[in-house]
Amino acid sequence: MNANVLKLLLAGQYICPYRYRVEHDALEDEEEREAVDQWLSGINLRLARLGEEGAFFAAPAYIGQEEINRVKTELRRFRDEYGPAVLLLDFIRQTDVSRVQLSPGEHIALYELEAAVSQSSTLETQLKSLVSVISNAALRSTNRENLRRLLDHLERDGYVVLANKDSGTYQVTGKVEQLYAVLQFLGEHKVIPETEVDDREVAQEDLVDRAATEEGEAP
Amino acid sequence: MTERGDQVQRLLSSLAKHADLVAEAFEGSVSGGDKARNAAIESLFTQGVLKPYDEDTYRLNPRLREFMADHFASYHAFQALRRVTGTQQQAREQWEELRRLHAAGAVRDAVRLHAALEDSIVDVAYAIEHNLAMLHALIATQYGNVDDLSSKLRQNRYYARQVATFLKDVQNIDVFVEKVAEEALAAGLLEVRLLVTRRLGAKRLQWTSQIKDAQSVISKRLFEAKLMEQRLRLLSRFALWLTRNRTADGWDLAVEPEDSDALFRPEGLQLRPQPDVADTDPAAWDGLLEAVKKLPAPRAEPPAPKEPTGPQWLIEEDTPAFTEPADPQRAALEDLVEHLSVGAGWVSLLDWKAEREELAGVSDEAWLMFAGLQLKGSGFGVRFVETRSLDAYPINELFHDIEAQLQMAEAA
Repeated sequence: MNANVLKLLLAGQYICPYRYRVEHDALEDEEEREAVDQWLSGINLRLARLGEEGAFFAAPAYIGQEEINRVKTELRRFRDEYGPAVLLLDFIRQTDVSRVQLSPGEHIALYELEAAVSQSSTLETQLKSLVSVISNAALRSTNRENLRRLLDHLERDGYVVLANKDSGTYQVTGKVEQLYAVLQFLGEHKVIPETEVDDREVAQEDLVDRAATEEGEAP
Repeated sequence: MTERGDQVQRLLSSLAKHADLVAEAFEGSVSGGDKARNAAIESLFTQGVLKPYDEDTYRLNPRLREFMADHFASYHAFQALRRVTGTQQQAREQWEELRRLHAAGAVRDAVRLHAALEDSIVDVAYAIEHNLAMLHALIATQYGNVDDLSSKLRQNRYYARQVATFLKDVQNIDVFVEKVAEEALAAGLLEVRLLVTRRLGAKRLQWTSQIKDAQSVISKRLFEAKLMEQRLRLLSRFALWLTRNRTADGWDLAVEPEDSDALFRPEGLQLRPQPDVADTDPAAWDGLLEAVKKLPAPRAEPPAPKEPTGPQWLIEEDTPAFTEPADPQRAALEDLVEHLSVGAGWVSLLDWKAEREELAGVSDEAWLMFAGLQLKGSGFGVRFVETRSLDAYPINELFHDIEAQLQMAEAA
């Protein structure tokens, strides 16, 4: 068994190929997974994944009232627990650099963010409004400094990892899928009233079906 | 070598002669330069290898480019899959004509038509194989011909449509194969029946299965793309909610054990290995000493705060004072001093000891050493009772007793 894998799992980390490549490669081996799972079962944990091919993490072996209460508390304190990540990642989405989809493995370059912000007063204003959310950011700092702190903040929270220090390029990690899973759960529970948002598409048809239909209609 | 074969050789040798220019043209367009280059372009242009594109700009013959692209599995973005319906239609017409010629007994023309039909059938099979190779190359490299993710997604959608059409084409081939095979059997053209069943019919199932595999991969990618779009939409909705509802913190929701594992974030268990101080292994011991060296020096203990001094009280207690138990040697010595003080003359210390039972446990040497020193220190006269020695030049003066008396001056 890889000792680092166990240490990371016990430390509550998400093991994805972008942040912990060696450890993730070790867990790709089925025998290693079984051994780790067996080891974790001794302390009432088990090896779990985010989705089918996402990051590995140590989940509780049994979901008891304590675990449920903890999640309920986190959802009740959504603004503090998940709010910063949601706001900062959404800011990056809005910059639309390299048509970023914020999926694991994607690269985010600091200079591209800076260019996007410098070309849009809306984004610049929005960045300033996030100063209270970004740790160590300040209104007197330059956009570049605040953007770097934004990415550093996300790095500390484990959502991105510094891929290239020289070019200031960060890479989205597998942990972001945990955030999406929480948002999905909240979305399914319709916590936000329909009247509050107007971003829904008229029809959500399956792309494959639509493609097939188009072909069917073609002469 | 036939004349036709000779021509092929000459064409290929010309291509080989100007291979650098052909390679350059495969990457893009080529333009004239020095005399030799212009001559080479002229030669390739004459043979139809290069086609004029703009003024003094030439591009590689598309058919030649296609051949090379197949060879290197290098495909343009959004490159369409080859349609086989046209060639299939051509083969159908050729078959109809071949059947008519065969019935009419025009053998020479029928042989020509058979060769043409064979080419068409091979072409259909080749087009299908090419499409499959291209699909697999694109899927395996995740549409490596573009870097932009959204462009990849659009290609994914595009190929989803292409594959659906491709599958229909291949299914139509089945109908064509069955029809030609039946008609060939009826017309007595067994070699044609063999041709279509062997070249097309036998491979159809394998092709269909490969296309469906590719389709499922593309569909999965499309689903992931759709999922990704949903995720970003969710992200933007919740960011908007957080911005609009600054006083709200979250929601009170029912969570069930069956809900997604992802909701239950792992808690970090802090681990800190402790050194085993009882481990006597040299390596462990050295490591421990190293660790201890790194520890900060112990801080000087601050002086204990003085208790406030208030008025002092003398407390007399009724408990009896502690009395030290009398030392028998000291008591015997005190008696001796008292005895000597009255001028008793020389008194042997050993005799004095022998008269006292309480000194029975004390050795003679210890008594003499103790009493002699005490008496001499107190000013009494002390003399050693020497032991007679037979040694002519004694180094040590030997004695076996000490006698003491009050000093003469004091006694006087």
